[in-house]
Parts: sequence; C-alpha cells; structure tokens
Amino acid sequence: MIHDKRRFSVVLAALAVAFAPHLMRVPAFVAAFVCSAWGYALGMQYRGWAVPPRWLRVILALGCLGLVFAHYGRSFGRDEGVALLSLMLGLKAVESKSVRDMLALLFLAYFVVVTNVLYSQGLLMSAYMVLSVLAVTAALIHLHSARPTLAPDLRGGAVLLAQSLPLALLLFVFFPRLPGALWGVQDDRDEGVTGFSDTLEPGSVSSLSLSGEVAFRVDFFGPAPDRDSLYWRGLVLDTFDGSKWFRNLPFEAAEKIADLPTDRTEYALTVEPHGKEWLFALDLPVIAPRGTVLRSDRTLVSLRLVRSRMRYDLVSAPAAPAVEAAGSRWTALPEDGNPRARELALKWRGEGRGTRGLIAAALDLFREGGFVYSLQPGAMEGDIIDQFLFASRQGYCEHYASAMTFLLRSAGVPARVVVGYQGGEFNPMGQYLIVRQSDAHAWVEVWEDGRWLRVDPTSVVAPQRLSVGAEAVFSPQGQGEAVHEGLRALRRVGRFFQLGWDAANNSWNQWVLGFSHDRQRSLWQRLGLDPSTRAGAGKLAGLLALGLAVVLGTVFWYMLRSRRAHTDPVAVQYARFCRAMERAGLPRRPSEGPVDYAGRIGLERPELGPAAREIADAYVALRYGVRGDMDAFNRLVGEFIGRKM
Amino acid sequence: MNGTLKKALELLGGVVLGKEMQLRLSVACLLARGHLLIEDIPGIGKTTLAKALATVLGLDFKRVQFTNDLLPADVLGVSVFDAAEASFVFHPGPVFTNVLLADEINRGTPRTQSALLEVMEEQQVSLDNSTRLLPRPFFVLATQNALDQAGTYPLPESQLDRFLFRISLGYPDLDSELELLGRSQNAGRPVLPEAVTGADEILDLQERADHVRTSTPLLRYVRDLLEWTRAGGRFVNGLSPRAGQALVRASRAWAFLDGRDYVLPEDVQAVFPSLAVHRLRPAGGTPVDMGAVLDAVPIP
Repeated sequence: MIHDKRRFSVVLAALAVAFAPHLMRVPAFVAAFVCSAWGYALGMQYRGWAVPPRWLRVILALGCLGLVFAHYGRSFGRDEGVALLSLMLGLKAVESKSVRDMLALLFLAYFVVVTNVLYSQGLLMSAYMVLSVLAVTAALIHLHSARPTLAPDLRGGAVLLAQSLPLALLLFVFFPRLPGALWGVQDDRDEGVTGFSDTLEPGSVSSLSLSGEVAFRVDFFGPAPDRDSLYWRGLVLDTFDGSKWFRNLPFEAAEKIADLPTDRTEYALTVEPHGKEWLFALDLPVIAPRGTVLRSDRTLVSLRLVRSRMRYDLVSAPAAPAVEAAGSRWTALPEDGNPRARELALKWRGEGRGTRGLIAAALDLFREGGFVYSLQPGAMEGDIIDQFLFASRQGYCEHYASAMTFLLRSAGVPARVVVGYQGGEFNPMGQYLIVRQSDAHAWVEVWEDGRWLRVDPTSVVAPQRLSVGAEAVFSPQGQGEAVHEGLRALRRVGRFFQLGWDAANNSWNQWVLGFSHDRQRSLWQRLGLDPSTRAGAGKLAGLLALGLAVVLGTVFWYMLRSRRAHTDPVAVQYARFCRAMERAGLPRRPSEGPVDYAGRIGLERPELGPAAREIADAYVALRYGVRGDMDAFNRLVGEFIGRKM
Repeated sequence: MNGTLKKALELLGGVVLGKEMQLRLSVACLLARGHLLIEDIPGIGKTTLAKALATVLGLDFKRVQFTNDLLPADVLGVSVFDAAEASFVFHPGPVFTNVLLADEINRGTPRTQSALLEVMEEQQVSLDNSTRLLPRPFFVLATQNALDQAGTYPLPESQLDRFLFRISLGYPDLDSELELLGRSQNAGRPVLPEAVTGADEILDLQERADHVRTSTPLLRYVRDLLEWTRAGGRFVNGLSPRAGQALVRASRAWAFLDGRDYVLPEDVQAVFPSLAVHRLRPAGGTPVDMGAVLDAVPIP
C-alpha cells in the first residue's frame, strides 16, 4: 500500500489533466462533486480515511444519476453524457483500492479525453488532447513500472504515441468517413455563432463590426482582385416595411450558364458555421457548388444549414447575366412614412435626371451634406430615413445603403440592399484572405442598362473604409493618435503572431477537419481506388485487407516474439545491449550466458571488456540474483550504447 | 568463495595435478549431497582423488574393492553371535564412513551393487530388523573401468541415476605429467595434506548451498534443457524430473562454490555435461556431445 499512494497520485494527476477542459463546461455541482471526491480519495490514500461503505456508494451513484436528470430534464445528449461521465470519474476514484480500479480510472480518462471533440475540434484543443493522452498513457505505464521518477514513463508514453502515429495517419486517410458530421450531437446546437440575420435594420451590421471573429477565409486560385472590389455578397434584401429591410423574394434558381465568362475569378471559400443557410460569394457567382443553389438574385444558399465549417469552390465574374428587374418588387415602398425623403427623390426626378443622375445626386448628398461615418449614430424611431437624412446625418453603412435605396425607389428606380462583407485581410503566412465579422457591410444595387449596378454610398462618406477596412477606421491608430513607436512595434509583433496563429488554424481546418467524406472519395479516386466502380472497389477492399493483414501479422509476430524473452524490462534492456554488440560484430550466441559473453567480449574486444563485464554483473544481479539496481543497469546500457555509437 | 572450500581446493590441486575442473565437480557433488562416478582407466589417480578429498575435508575414508564374489554383507556389515554376550553384535561394514571409495563397482554382482546403491539413496542401513544411520556427510566415489568389459556387470540406467555426476579424469597434461614424474619421495605417492575442515562444517556448507537462489528465468532455462532432451527422439530417454531436480541442486552447489548466492545459466552449463552424460543414452547409438545439447538450447 505504501507505494500505491504515489501511484494513485500520479493516476489522479492524469485524470485532472484529462478532465480540466470539462471543468468549466459541466454544471457547478458536477465540478464540485468531482473535485471533492478526488480530494477524499487522496485523503483515503494519505490520511487513511475510510472507504465509504457500499450502501453509501450506491446511494451516491443513484443520487448523481438523479441530479443529472433533474438538472437537464428528460433529454439526453452531449452535456448530460459528459456530466454523468464526470460524476462517475469522481465516484470511481473514491472506491479505488486496487491496481485494477486504477486501470479502470485511466481507461475512463481516455474516454473523457475523447469527449472533448464534442465541444471543440480546434487546433488548440487537439493539441491539448494529445497532451492529455500522453499524460494518461504515462500514468498507465507508471502504474506498471512503479519507478521512483516519472520521466522515463513520460518518455515511454511519448514513444508509444509516436509509434501509433503511422497507424493513426493511415486510419485518418483510409478509414471510411460518413457523410456529414460523425458526432450527430453537434448538429442540434449552434452556439456562439455570429453573423447576419435576414433583416437589415439600423444597428444590425454595426453590431458585428466590433467582432474580430472570422466569418470566412478565401483561397484564390489566381491573382486576387483589388481590395476595393472585394464585395462578398450574402443576401439581397428586397422589401422595406418602414423600419427594416428583409428578404421576401420567392425562391427561384438562377438559370445555368453554358460558358464561363473569360473575365472570372476562381477561389475556394471556407465559411465558419453561422447556423443559417446563406453563403457568401464575390460579385457575381456564376456556378453553384455541390450542395448549394444559386438563386435568381445571384446569392448562394446552402441546402443544409451551415452548422459546421464548409468549404466550397466558386467562380465569380462581374459580367454574369442578371434576371430582369421586372414588376414593382424592386421599387415597392410602404404606403407612407419618410415624406421628406420621398419629396427629395421626386424633386430629383423632376429635374429630369436619369438613373445615373439620381445615383450621382444621392452620392453628392452624402458627400457634401455633412454626413459622418459613425458606429454609434444614436437610436432612431419612426421615420428613420428622414431622421437620418435630415437630422442626425450620422450612420454606418446600413444607414447609407438603406437611405439610398429608399431614395432611388422613391424616384421609381429599381434598387435593392445587399448585405455581405467587404474587403478582408490578406494573410501573407498562409497566402489566403481572412474576412472577419468586422468586415460586414451593406451596399446598394441599382438596375441600370440591363444589369444590376453596384453602388456603395459608404465609399463617399468614408473612403478609407474600403481601402483599409472598418477595423482600421475605428481603431485608435486609424484616428491618427500619436502612438508610441515601441507600442506600435509591439502591436506589429502581436499582429504577426495573430496572423501566424490564424494560418495554422486555417491549415488545421482545411487539412484535418476539412478532410470530409467527399474529399476522401476524391483522394481515393485520384489513387485509382474509386469505390463506385467495381475494379476500384475491389482494389480498395484488397488494399484494406492487405493493410489489416500486415497490421495483424505484425502484432502477432511481436506477441510471439515477446512471449519468450522480451516481457521482462531487464531482458529487454539486456537485449538492447546484445543488439548493440551484434552491430559491433560480436553477437551473443543464444546459449551463451551473460558472464561468459562478457568474458568473450573482453577477450575479443579488450576495450569493451570492463563495460561489458559491468553490464553483465548488473544484469545477472537483476535477473538471477536477489538484489539489483534497475536504474544503474539502465544507465550502464544507455552509456554503453551511447559511447559505442 | 567460501574460505574453507577455497583452501581445500587449493590443497587438492596440489595433490591431483591439472584437474581443477574435476576437483571442483567433486566438491560440488559433495556439497549437493550427491555421489560421484568416475569412469576411467586404472592408474589415473582415482584413489588419490578420493583419499585426498576425504583427508582435506577432514572426513573418514574407507575403500571397497568390488569383485564378483563380494557380498552385500561385505559392504554393509554383518551381525555376529557373540557367545560371551549371548547376543548378536553388529559389525559395521566399510559403508559406515563419510567418504567411501567403491573401486571398480561394475565388477561387483548386481546384488552387491544394488545393496550399495540403496544405501546411497537412503543414507541408512536396514539389517536384521534394525535401521542404522550412516554418518553424515555420506559421499560415495565409485569408479568403473570403461574399457575392460569382460566379467563385469554394467550398472543399469536406473541405478546410474543415483550418481549425481559421472566424470573422467583423463591423462594429466604435459606439465602436470612432468611434475608427477619428478616426485621421488614417498615412492611416488603424494604427501596428503592436513585437514582444513570437518564433518560438521561440511554439513553446514551443504545446508547453505541449498539456499542459493534460483530465479524464474533460470528455472525456465533448466526446464528448456530438460525439454530439449525429451523432444525429438534424440535420446532413448530424456532427463527425468529427478534428474532436473538434481541439476538445480548441482547448479546451486556450483554457484555456492563460486561464492555467489544466486545461480547463473553458466552454473547450469558447467555441471550439465557431467550430470547428463550417464543419464542420456543416444537413440542412434552415436554419442552425443553434451556441449552440443547446451549449444542447442537458448538461454531465455
């Protein structure tokens, strides 16, 4: 029992490492129970506290079960499962007495580590999970080795993990993937997603501007377009009800285009989950990738809600054909409200201006009418367009887009509000574009000459919004404050790490998390193993069988080999020494005793003799004798091999 | 090494020249409570070895020359009616000693041989409804002449098993021979050295040799050796479990002689040839070198 204390502490430490990420996720009572149970278990080991009697343990277990159900109600999903698992982790620790119990705890810990992917599959969490597995494995080794130090066990665990890596990689690439998320539980939640809603009212875009969260990332398969033409269309809003714009357009797919336009941009876009169906594309998408539909207003929608990260390949061309702005839909406005704006629009129209003239008039108004680009324009009620145009004259892009569309429609010109993102930050480390929520934007499209013309009223109010992005406009240095040079350098370093981190995350997302059913299929096809053809399926099955045979064969071989001599760590270490001598040209005969062998080494290689003799002495003392020093033996063999190499 | 044994071996080495291995085996045999069979031609020093061993170790020594008219009573002893006392008085035979040299044992009749071999196993003499214990330690050195087969009764295998080791002395090497020839005093006989110990200490040493440790890997090696002699039909019979126990006991004694408190595979290998050679009869009649057996079995 005396050295069990130490072993138990090591096991508990590994459990703590495995459980730590859950600590903030589970309800407070669960966290408190687990911690106190572990505390009591330590007390049992070090202070000799009594093991709780069986009836108490049964009551505790049932009580935990009851509490979980009481807390969560009748549904049973991810959180409930993890809470229950955590409680059992605490309970099991309290009843742990034997090595067998500790083994059960450690295997439970592996399971706890796996549950982390139900919450996060990010790079940081994955790294932490690897660390946890290492800790648990090291504890498992320690449980058996009972060495005084942990370092060799940690090393052993690391070696074990490294050895398992090739198999893990093989399984990663070839283990058949299910279409969609494997963790079904992930699908019924959308937590922490930010993004647009399908209505535009004052404040809906500006609230996003403060968020540095990534909306999506873009890889261009060619030269990227200029920054000021990077308009990522999300939604087209066609109806105004006096206070907000929303989408009311009946669903209709755009007609297919026979030939791709020559002036096109090809890119792949990886959107972060936002829980809605719309996707983003550069002005104007011409094809719909798999799983999406291109609507007649040239916006992309996904067939499934975007609840997990999604990557799609896109082609955009400014010259894509548009659907005629027929009917009154694009000029419709509420019956009344905002009389001054209507009056102004009619006045402009009376001046005989064409569509272009009206656009110019509106832009001139914004440019010269004393308008200010602001994140906090203050609350507006009632005739919000009139208030903005004639009273406050402060607003964010949604105010300008909304007001301009209103003016144009009042004058009888078909116009619509488009919301999406503008610009983005190019990450030189990963050669891709990051578009953040702060790049959210709203602009206007006007029907003119058989196509929808993009007009961005914000560009005349705050031209730098397009050249440097909203974040820069509203951040302190953007306002020209004198910033200390050192601080600026520090900020640049921070920026560098931020971009590097994002690049690492992006690679992780693209290559590890993004390795979906589809990409696996396309990889197999590229290797000539298309499972949908007979030959390919046969080859694939053959390869899998071969792989399985190789793996099983290796395992059996090792089992057979280790059955004889290599179970004892002393024998393993001695075998290392013998292999080293074999490489030196002096192999041990199978029937040669260690002392005889050392003697022969001394005869044939006198310079190795004393060391070999020392090793033989340490070995026989350990293997045949009464007392022996394993650490000294390890050190001797290590030194011997190190010196010889 | 134990000081007494070291001294004893040194002294013995001065008497029986150039035969360190055989001397060691003899002492180990004594320590393991076994008996020794020496197979050799006459005049090679068998008697000298036995006498020297007994003298150096401070033990009683007696000698029986086996002939085909030797009776069990000649070896064990006989009860004679004493008229004065009006009762039978037991006259102990030469077997009542510590070290008994049974010379040319294969010349004795099977009946006499059996009587001796029984006593060797049981360390007591049962005659006339009474049992008499032999002195301890009791150690038999038997010799047989391998070449001269006429008029002999070769020991059956079951009885050979009673001897822990069978060794041959062989001719001395050149240097020893020269030294031997140069010995003029005492009519060419060596002067026997003084005793360095006695029966009690020998018993104590036997006891201590019993407690030499044999680890599991070592026992596994012994098991593998036994297994190898039984499998594959190389021998008429493989080594018996009793032979296996004897091998472990002998290895312990050998390790003890070496001053260790645990047995090494090398100890097993050192005693194995002498222990197995008279117990294993090659199936094909062609002799099998015991070294080849050792080479064939890997040490686990």
